[in-house]
Amino acid sequence: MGEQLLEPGDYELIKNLSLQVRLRVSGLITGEQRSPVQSGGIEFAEYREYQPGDDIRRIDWTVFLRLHRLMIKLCAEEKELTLVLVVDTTRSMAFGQPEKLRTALRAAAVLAGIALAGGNRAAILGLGADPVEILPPVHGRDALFRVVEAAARVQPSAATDPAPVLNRLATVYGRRVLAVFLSDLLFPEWEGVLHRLAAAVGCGDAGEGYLLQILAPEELDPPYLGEITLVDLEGAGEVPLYLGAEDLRRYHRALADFLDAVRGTCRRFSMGYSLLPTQVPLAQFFTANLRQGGLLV
Amino acid sequence: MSWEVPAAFWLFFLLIPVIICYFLRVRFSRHPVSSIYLWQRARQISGGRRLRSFPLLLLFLQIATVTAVIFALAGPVLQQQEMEPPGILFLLDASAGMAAEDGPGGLSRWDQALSLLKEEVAALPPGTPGAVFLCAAGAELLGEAGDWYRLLQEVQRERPRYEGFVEEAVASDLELWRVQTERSWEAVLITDGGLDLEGRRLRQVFGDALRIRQIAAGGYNLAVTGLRVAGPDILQARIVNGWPVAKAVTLQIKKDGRLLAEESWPAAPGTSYQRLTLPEPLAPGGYEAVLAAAEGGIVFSPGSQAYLAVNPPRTARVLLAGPGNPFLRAALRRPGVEVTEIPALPEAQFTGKGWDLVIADRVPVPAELETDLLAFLTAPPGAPVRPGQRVAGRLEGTGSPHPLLRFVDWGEATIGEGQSLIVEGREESGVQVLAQVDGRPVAVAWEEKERLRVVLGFSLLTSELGVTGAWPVFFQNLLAYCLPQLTDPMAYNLTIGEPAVLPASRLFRVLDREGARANALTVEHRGRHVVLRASRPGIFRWADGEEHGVLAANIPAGEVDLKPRILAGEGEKRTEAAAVLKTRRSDLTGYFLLLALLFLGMEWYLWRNGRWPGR
Repeated sequence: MGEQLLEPGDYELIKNLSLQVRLRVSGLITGEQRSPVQSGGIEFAEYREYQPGDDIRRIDWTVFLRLHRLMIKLCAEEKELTLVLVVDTTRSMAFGQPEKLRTALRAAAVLAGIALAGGNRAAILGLGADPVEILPPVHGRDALFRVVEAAARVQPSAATDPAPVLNRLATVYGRRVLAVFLSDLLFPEWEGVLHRLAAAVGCGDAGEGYLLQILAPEELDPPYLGEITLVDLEGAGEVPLYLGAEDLRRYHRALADFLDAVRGTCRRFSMGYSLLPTQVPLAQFFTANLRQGGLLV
Repeated sequence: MSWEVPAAFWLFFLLIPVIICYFLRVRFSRHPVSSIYLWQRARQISGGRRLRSFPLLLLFLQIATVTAVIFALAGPVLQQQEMEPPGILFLLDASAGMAAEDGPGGLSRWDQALSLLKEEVAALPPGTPGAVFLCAAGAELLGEAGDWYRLLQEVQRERPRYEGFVEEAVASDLELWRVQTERSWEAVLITDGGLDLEGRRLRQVFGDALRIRQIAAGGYNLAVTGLRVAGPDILQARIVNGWPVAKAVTLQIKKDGRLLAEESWPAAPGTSYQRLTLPEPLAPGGYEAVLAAAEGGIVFSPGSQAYLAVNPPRTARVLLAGPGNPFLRAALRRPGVEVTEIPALPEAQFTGKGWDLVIADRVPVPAELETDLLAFLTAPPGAPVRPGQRVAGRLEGTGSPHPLLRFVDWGEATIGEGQSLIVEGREESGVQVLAQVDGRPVAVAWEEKERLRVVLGFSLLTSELGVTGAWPVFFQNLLAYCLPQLTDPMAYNLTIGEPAVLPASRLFRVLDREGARANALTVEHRGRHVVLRASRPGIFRWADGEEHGVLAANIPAGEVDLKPRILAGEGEKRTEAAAVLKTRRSDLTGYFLLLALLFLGMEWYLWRNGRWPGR
């Protein structure tokens, strides 16, 4: 199963790329990312006044002699990063050739692999029906197999309330994570979901968020013409249409407006953004778009 | 509107499955999409104007297209009936006699005809359709009248031809033209009365709708015609005296402009013959007879000259190859035929050059032979005939119009022993069967490389043909075909307006006295023959490879006699041509096809764009 999800080139991506994180990370295991907790590290971070309960060994007596104030010397400690991949697993993602969900899971697996290869943790949450947590946080290079195995098991499901997923993201993983949301966002409540996701992660504050919007070629350039009844895969209804060239022009205009709105919202919530058309080779997208988007180096 | 193929309407039943399929297609054209979210947004932009009923408009256009095609296949025809008034044809006699200047004040008959024509045209109601024909050896359409003034100008530029009025040819041409026009016509013939059939044939064409306007002419004229050889040094001419009294005339004979003989005498009224003895024997060349009248009685100058072509006596050189045949020797024993006998023809590289006719009597024929051939019981290599079964019995004709069979009656002859001939590819090779026994060909002829090939499947020794009357006639036809000047001393004397057919090679040319190609004669090559047509009188020279000689062209003898004939129904106009109830049929197939294309285009546009232009 895992072999089918990832292609040989994907392992090259995992090997050659690494995450670029601007925030300070928190965690229990020392990793390659800078932690916001200034404690037992060796690299000086800053000073702060002593408070009861602080380790008295960290009082900088040199500063006390000069200023007559008790100051604690804080050092930045290298801590591991938790990469949380929030994958939209609703039925709308089971569309296109290649399927959007498969592309999303493959991209998630590669990103997780990159995180694990950098000594960080990776977890996958499903934004759909149960189970919410597709893969609990794992670390170590050997955990890539578990990531791929868990991702390959994912099946499209009916859309459900995203609140449990976002709550778990906020409560369990904390606000100091790098969350990558992989979705087509083709639902009316997309802005609310992005808002709650940004709030859960704490984008622009302690956490960092990134949206990978995945769309199929049929959505970017519909091949339909003439009389047609469009059926929503998620059961949102049917749209009987007569499609002419002018209608297709209108669709393209609506699509462009929609994508602009998504980009603007991401900017507003301090989230990174990239559009991933499923027909674009993943290697090209990772090495060009995600590097340019600041997610990978 | 009527339909030529109403059965095509059964095709309307095809619409039923078309409609059913259409609705089935609409019903099942469901496409799953990941989300209709964006489509709903697009619909909000367009204002939700995409109607479900729109496809019905397309269906309507498709049905309209099919309907228009079915109507087109049914052959729609629109018929309109209307009365079409008759047109008028002016038939101008343009024969040679119309150049005679015997009208009042020396006016020519042609000028008088033009005056009559103008008079007739002036009396026509405006917009009358019509045409003007010049009639002589045939009917020549000068122009159809949309503008009578312009047509009259064109007529004035014309002159009479040197031809006679050949009524049969004129009537045939007019019949053919009239069939093409599909209109009723009145005809006015303006003539001097020189019609060879006295107007009866034209009356057959136009019936009572023919009106003849005859030019008043007395026909008082002196003319010479019919110059002939009457002896080794004697020429004979026919003198036509249209005056009621004897007229003093002088006749001169010239050769190449040189006066050879002259004689004056009072020519009796009517036709007489005059012989002139030349100071020297007749030599090859062109002779000219010039008639002069002491008191100026000649009103038709072309009629005062006659021409004669004398070509060197031609000897037919015949090569007779075979074991000896008394019947052939007897047939060839005649003046002008030079016979050389050999036991067999050379087997190779023998073309027969220098021989007019090669007769192969039971001996093989070389393949390279390039002269006319008569072969008994043998055929040249590569011939389209081969020997078949043995036959015996009475010779029968086949009804072939071949000139070798002119006046030949095979019925008297029987074959004791012979071979039938199997013809291969008769259509391609042009082989004609001349005679047969029991339905099997025994005598055939064809042309190969413009040379005649005659093959007989029997010998004169094993048949009775040599002792019957058919043989000398057949042989005479053969000689006439191969060497016509041998049998017809007047072969190179042409009458203007009448085609002359002569055997000639592709090198045959006609030259004028200066050696340039003569424009007055048209030469049309047809296989081994040329068809000559002269358009003016005179002496011309001809050349055919190394051979050469002279040609003479004369105006028809009938044209020098200017006495008008009494024409059938002259001056009468018994009834007018009736207006014709004409049914105009307009084929509407093209319009329906255009309509179908229009519907199809609209359907395609709407299907492609989903709206009308500009909306």
